[in-house]
Formats: sequence, structure tokens, C-alpha cells
Amino acid sequence: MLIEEKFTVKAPREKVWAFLMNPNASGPCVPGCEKIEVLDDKTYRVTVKVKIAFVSLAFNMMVKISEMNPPSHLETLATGEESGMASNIKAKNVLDLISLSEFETEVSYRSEVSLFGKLGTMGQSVVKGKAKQLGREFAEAVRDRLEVSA
Amino acid sequence: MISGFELLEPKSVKEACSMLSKYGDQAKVIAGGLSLLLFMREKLYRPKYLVSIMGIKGLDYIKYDEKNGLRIGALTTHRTIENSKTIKEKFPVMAETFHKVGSMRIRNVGTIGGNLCHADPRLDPPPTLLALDAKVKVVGPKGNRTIKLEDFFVNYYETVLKPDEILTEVRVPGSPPKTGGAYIRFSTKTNDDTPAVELAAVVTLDSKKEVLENVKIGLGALAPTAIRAKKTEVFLKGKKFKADILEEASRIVSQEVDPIGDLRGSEEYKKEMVGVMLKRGVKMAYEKAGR
Repeated sequence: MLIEEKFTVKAPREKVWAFLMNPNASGPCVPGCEKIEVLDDKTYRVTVKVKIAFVSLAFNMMVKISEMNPPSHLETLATGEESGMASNIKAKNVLDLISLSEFETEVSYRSEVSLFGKLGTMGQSVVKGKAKQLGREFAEAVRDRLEVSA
Repeated sequence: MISGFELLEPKSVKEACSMLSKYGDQAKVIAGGLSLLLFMREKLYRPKYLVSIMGIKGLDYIKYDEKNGLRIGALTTHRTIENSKTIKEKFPVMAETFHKVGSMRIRNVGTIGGNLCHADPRLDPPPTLLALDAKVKVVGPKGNRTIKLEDFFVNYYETVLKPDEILTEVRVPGSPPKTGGAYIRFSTKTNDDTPAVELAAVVTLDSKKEVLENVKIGLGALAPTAIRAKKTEVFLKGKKFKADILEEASRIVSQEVDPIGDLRGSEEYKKEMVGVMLKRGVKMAYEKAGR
């Protein structure tokens, strides 16, 4: 399943990059993010709780940075599990920041997501619909924090 | 076998709300149970309590008057709506739509309230009810509220209902004279399969039957919720019914939607098909309005 989204932030690219690379700052922008542990400079353990349909899910994810080119490009591999539904998730993510002007940045991301187990039977369109909604909430939260303090 | 839950059977809406308040996320309302039981059978959803509202009296009715329009109790079955003389006379597009819901066995069990609360964007009634400007009445421990149907759906299987609220009534305003409606669905597999695209059009003509005084378009299976095609509606409103106008409206509706591809059709396919179906649907509604 491919998820591609983009949004703009009225802030310089360096500032957006620094914000997104700081898990303590950007973590709270991720809807349902309950905990981020920094294991080393390239590995994070993340707990996210979301509700898809009327089903509450808790994902325990390991996120590893596989390629980084500051302040414009980041690639990560996220793997994890959802124990309630005996499901696994794997996502290969690419993040790009494009400077639209001195004070405006386009954030685009692309995730190739694979679902295994019961979660997969819920339907790709359902998961994709939820991902779009969470993406919009994340963009709004990032804008709230960066544009106010810009 | 589905097990591991306790069935609660309240005798009033108030008692049901109180049970929902008490058990919160562990409880779920069940009416006909058609859609919910599929989730439970697949073990996708395991509630601790099922609050069956089927025993609550006074939620199964169809009432109509000129002032208040149509009022349908949440526990009214699809079959009752499909066969209602009042609905056939005043809102024939509703009777046609509910006739297309599943099989007769399903229509005898499924309820209008359950259908809307399940919030699957691929079900038959929502596009038609959206095009008819329907509202829903919701009851909770803190009182009642009325919500426009277009504000009711949030995402796949999600609505704005709070955990302790129950949908009790669907309201549809009366239609002006010279109004006609059409509901069409298209599936890429079998005729009775989940649709790839569905569209409802409600057209009101002017007194000379020349101008599209008002056009409302409801769409299904094209987004995480059933939606209205507002840009297309604005374009068509006030125009004369002509082939080139329909062609342009078809282009606008294709651009207006942002579908998620599924087993029944890719994003590109759905965008193309909704344009084709818009032309068919508006033409059918126009012809009915002019009779």
C-alpha cells in the first residue's frame, strides 16, 4: 500500500528539518503518539495508539534511519506489531523538504506500507483513509507549532 | 462462533445511554447486527458488552407531514422503507435506493439507523439521504442534538457520535414541486456486490421545466465517507439541461473527488466512472422531475 501526501509550512526549511528531527518536539505532533524512546542516534522505539473504525489499536514500532541528507531528505524503515490483532506492520518511508521560498517549506512523504495479520483483512482502503486523516492532523499540528513561533 | 461478550437489552433510550456511559469503549450498540457481526466473526472487533436496542419500543416508524417532512425511526428496516406508501409517493428515490440494499433477507433485518451508524461509505442509503438533505437526531445523557448527515460521517466506520449517544431518528425535509431523484450504483464484479461507484442525484426544475433550479449530488465509494459533490452542484444550479452542460459537469465531478482505490476499481477508474454516472444520474433525475 502506497501512501503519498504533502503539505506546506510557513517556516524556513532548516527550521522545519530541525523540528522534525527532534523527537521530543515533533513526537507530540504524531496523532496518538504515546512514547518515543531514543535508542541511539539512528534508532527510535515508538508507541502509537489509534482507533481505526471502532477498533482501538496500539502499535509498538521500531524506527531506523537508513539514509539522511540534511536538511532535505530522510529515509526510514519502520517495523512493528499490534498485539491485540496479532498483526505486523512494515513501512519504508521517504521524507523530502523543498524550500518554496525563504520562509516557506513543502513537506512531502511517501510510505510503502505492508500489513500482515488481522489488520490486513480490514481492507487497504480503510487503513489508507485513516492514514490520510492522521496525515492531515499531523500537518496541522506541525504548522501550529512552527508557524506560531516563526 | 462469536462469543466473549455480554448482551445487554435496555428497554428505553435513556437506559441504553446510561449503559453506554457506564461501559464506554467496552460497549457497542447493536441493532440489526448485519455489519457489526461480520467484524466480530472475523475477530476484528471484540466488545465486552453489546447493547441491543432492538427491544426499545417506539423507534420503528415512518411519519410525514408537510411542515416537518419525513421522520423515520432508527429501527425501521430497509424493507419497511422500501415498501412504505408514503415514501413511494413523496420520496420515490428513497424507495428505489432501499430496494437495492442487499437481499430481501438483509432488508428485513437491517435498520436505517444501523446502516448510517456503521458509516461504511459503500452502502446504498447514504448518497441518496445526502442528496435529500437528511439530518439525524441523536440522543445522549446530556440531551438531544440534530446533525446534518453531511456532518455526521468522519471516516471509514467512524461518525461524530459520542460513545454514549444513540441515533434515534432520520429526518428528510419535504421536496419542492417538480423534483425528481435517481440512485445508481455500479459494481465491477457482480450486480449485487459492493459498488465501485454510487451516485444519487436530486433535481428540482423551475416552473417552466427548463432550468435546473437546484441540483444535489450524493456520492458513495469515492472517499472515506459518503459525500456531497458541492462544486458540481454549484455549477449545475441555474443552468438549462443541455448535453454540453452535462459534459462539463461530468468533468467537474471527476476533478472534485479524490477516491481511494480498492478491489472494485483504481483511483483513476473511479474518477472516470463518476463522470459517466453523473451524466446518467442527472439525466434520470431531470426526466423524473419533468413528469
